[in-house]
Amino acid sequence: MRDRPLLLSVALGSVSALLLVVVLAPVLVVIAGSFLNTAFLGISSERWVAGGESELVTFKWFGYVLNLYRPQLTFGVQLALWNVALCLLIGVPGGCALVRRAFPGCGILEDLLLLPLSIPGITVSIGLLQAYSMIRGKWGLLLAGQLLYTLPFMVRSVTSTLRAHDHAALERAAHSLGAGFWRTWWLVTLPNLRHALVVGSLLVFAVSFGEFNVSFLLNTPLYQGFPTALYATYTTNSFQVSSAATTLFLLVIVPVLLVIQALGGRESTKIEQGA
Amino acid sequence: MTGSLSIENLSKHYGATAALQRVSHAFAPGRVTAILGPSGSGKSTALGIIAGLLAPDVGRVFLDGADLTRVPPEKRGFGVVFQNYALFPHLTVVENVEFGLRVRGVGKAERRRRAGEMLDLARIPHLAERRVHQVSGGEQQRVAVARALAIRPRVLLMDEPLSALDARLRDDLRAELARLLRELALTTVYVTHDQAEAMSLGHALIVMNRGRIEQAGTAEEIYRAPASPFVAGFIGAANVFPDAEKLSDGAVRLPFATFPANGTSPPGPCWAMLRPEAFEVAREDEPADFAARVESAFFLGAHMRVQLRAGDRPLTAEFPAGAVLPSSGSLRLRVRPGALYIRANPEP
Repeated sequence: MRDRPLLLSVALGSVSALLLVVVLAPVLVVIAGSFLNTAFLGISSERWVAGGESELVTFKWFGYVLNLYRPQLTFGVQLALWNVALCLLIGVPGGCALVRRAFPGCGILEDLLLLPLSIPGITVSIGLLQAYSMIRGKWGLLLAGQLLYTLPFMVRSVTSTLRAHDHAALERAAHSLGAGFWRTWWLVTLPNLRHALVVGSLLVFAVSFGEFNVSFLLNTPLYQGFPTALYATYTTNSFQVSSAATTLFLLVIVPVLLVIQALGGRESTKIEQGA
Repeated sequence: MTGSLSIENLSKHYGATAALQRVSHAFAPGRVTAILGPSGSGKSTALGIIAGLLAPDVGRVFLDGADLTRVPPEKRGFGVVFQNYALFPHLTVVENVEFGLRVRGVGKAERRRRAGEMLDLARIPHLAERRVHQVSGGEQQRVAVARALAIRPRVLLMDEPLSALDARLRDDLRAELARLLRELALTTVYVTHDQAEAMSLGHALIVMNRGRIEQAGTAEEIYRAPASPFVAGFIGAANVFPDAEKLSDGAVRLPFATFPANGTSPPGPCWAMLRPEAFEVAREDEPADFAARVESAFFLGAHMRVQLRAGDRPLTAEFPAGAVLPSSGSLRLRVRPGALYIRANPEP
């Protein structure tokens, strides 16, 4: 790297640091809040989680939140995993078919697939409720609603990889070497999609786990995702409890995002190298 | 001899565009046939149909008498080298080469051995464990050839295998490929738009244009006696005159001069060709066939290339480098005996 004048470096560094603070401050406050014992500071009379009254830093909110929202947390993870499974099942063959233009209307379908991402979630949810009122209250409807948002991520991940590698040429080469449709799929297509599938699955997981719009409108008392629980906690619970719930949420979602970031960076350098 | 490949009456349309129109040819077994043509001439379509990767609208493909038209590519046992090689990016070089053997259920040890032989043949044994994106373009080309040959193909098909490389490398690899193909004595169809490649690699040549075979033969035959003005212009440089006429006394009239006859076509309109080397400068005491104005002259080592204008016709001529030429003004020129080539106009 070239030498920069000291003053410029300091200025750039300060601006970056300032931006970082602005962006991270709310998150940091929430995280700090989840460990803070306000009762110890004497600014809260909240006493309904017993113990630790004499410490400033406490983990008791987590115990409380975990207890309170365990069903939502479990269900949220289950729902996200269902999304991943169904997206793999539908999105991978679907993405391949779209890239090959396997049937008429592929182009339109590919565009339609992205439509839910640009329509307000409330519209989609109410549409779903009206169209499928007979399964209202079943978690299947919630899954279906989420799939509208998660499927595009998997399909996009698959189609962009297939298009970047001129996959049709690889498949032709495999055929010429004696591999039929399934062998080619197994030995060539799938291994080259591995990275897209990992990134796509993580994205789907993250989107599903953090999705609020559809989940909020289609949820039932029995089947609530974690963001719905967050909403509930913000409206009814103390700052510490909601902070702890948020920190739990971040604990699940941030590692996923970090892995996506790391993998995404690796893939783009590979493509630049002409792989 | 095995490896008798032939195509019969192949046609292929893309929408309203005819990519291939009733093309038939019997390829010489054990030899290299180069299909030469400009882009869009149908040469790659023909290759795709032979490989089984494209289905013809009509027509058939035969190998040793068996009809392969409906046989899928994976059952044909043809080796294909693709234009951009289409190497598998998730596999190493040696894994690419042994792919065809793996699909055929050849055991690991045996396929490693045979892949090793192929890498030796392609002179890249040191690259075996590299990833495909870690080797250069020329090396990728060698991997592609080794991979196609590893399955001991009945026919080898190559689609512009050198076109992705830079000029120097292309010349080197062309010479090496020519040697390899000669040694293999495998029925090979080699598609290219580069005439030097076609002439140096192909024992036989097919010139294609607009979905049809314009002419098939050896390079020399086609150079000496092109079947159409298109072929004359495509193989080597040529001055082509589509509007010539054969007179009843046997002489041939070109737009700028009339010449004694060559060839036995009946009187009437015809097309004529003069290769650049057909001209010589007339001496002072010799009668000239015609006069031409010199527009430019380039020194090209062994010869001079001169752009002339005779009447309103531009002409390209080549003279031995030692020839004394005026750098401008007018030249009195003769056409070497027998150098004027004429042929009846092609059927419309």
